[in-house]
Amino acid sequence: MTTSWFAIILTSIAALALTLLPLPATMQLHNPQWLLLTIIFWSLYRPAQAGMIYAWIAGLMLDVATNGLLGLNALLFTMTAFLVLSLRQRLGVAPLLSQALLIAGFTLVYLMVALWVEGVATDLVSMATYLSRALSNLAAWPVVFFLLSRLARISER
Amino acid sequence: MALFDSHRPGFNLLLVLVVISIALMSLDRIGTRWVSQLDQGLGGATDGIVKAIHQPVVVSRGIGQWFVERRELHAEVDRLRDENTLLRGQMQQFVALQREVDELRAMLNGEASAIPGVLLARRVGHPPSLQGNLFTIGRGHGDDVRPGDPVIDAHGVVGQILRSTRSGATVIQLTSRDHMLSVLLGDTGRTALLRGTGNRQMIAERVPERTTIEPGDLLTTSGIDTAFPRGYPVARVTSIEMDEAQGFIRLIAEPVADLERLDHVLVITEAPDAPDDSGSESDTALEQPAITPPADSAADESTPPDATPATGATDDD
Repeated sequence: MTTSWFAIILTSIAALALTLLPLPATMQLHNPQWLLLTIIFWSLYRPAQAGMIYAWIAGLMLDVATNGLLGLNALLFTMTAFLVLSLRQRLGVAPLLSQALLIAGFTLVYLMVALWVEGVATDLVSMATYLSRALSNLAAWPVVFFLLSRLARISER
Repeated sequence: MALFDSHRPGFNLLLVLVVISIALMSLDRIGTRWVSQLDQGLGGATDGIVKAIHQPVVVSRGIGQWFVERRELHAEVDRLRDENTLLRGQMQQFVALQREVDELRAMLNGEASAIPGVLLARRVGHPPSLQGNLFTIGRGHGDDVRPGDPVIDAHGVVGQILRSTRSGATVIQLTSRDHMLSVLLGDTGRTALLRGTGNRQMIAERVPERTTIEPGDLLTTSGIDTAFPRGYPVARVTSIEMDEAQGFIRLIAEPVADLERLDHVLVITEAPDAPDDSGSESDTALEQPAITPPADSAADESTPPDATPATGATDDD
C-alpha cells in the first residue's frame, strides 16, 4: 500500500492553507491544528512514507508561515510523529473515538512542551553554547569509552 | 498489510532531528544570517499560499468595485482632487520649514535630514499568530524592502519590517510585545523607550519624575536607535502613573497610526538619519529589526548599544 507522494504533499499544503486562513481572532484560537492532524494521519497509516523527517519539514514550513520561532513546531511535530509511530500498532486498530481521545492527549503534551520552550526561549542564546558542549561530548565519548573499557579490563585481572 | 509491519521509529533519527530543531531555534534567536536566509527562502513558498487563500477576498472586492456607481466615482475623484490640492499647498509650507530646520540643524551639529525614500505598499493579509500584531504587505526584496525598515501610515509610525521575501514582507506592529522603539517625549528633549504590550496601549517606563509631560502630549521618534528616522509621530500620552518610591513615572500611550483600519502603508526604504561615516556598520544595524526578546539580558542584541538600556536612554541629558 503506497499512496503517491503527490497526495501526501497536496494534503499537507491544503492543511497549511487551512491553518493560515484569516479568521477572527477569537476563532483563530479555537481553530484545529489541521497540519498536525494531517501528519498524525499519514504517520499512522502510511508510516513507510511519512515518517519523522516529513513531520519535521512540515513543522518547519508552519514555523516559517506563522513567523514563529524557527524550529519550534518542527521539534513538536517530530516528537508527535515519534509518539504516534511508537503507539501505531495499538492506535491503528483502535476505534475512532479512542483515537480522537488519544490525539487530544497528544495535543495537551504538545501544548505543555510548547509552553516550556516559549519559557526558555529567551535563554536559547545561551543554549547554543550548551549545544556545542553536547557536540563535543558526542565526539569525546568514543575516546572515553575506549580508555575506560581498557582500564576496566586491566583492573579486572 | 502495513499495519503489521512494525515501522519502529528510529530513536537516533529522533535525536538528530531534535538537536537540529534546538540548534535552529537558538540560531534563530541569535539572528544568524543563514537561518534568516532559510526563513526568507521558505517564506517565499508560504507567502504564495497566504496570497492564494486571500484571492477570494481580492476578487470579491474587485467585483464590488465594478458595481460602484459612476456618480459616486466622480464624487470620490472630486474629493481626492480637493484633498490633493490642499496637501500640495501645505507641502509648500513644509518645504520652506524643512529648509529652515535643516539650516538650523546644520548650525547645531552638522546633520541635515533629507526627505526619505518611501514606498507605498498594500496590506495583503495577516499570518496567524496568537498576538495578532503582524501583517503582510505586497512588497518585498524586489522593491528594496529589507528587514528593519520602518513602516508608517498617514498618521504615524505603524511598525517595522520583520521579514521580507522576494515579493512580500511581514510587518510587526509597534504595539507588539516584542517591539520597542526610542521616542522623544513631547518637546522636553528627553528620550525614552516605548514598549508595546500586545494591545493598544504602549508603555514608557523609567521616565524621570521631573519631566514636564501631560496626557495628550505627542511622542515622536528620536532617531537615536537608527532604525526609525527622527521626527515621526508615534503615540499620544493617555495617562501617567506615578512611582513615588523610585522617583520615576510611567507613561501610558496609544499609537496615533490607525492600526485598526490599515489598508495601505508606506515603507521607508532608506533611513535619512542613519550615520554615513560607518557604512558597513549601519547596514548591519538596519538589517536587524529593533525587536527585543522579552528578557532584559538579551535586549542589546538587535538595537544599537547607545539606545538600549532604558535607564541610560532616559537619563542621558
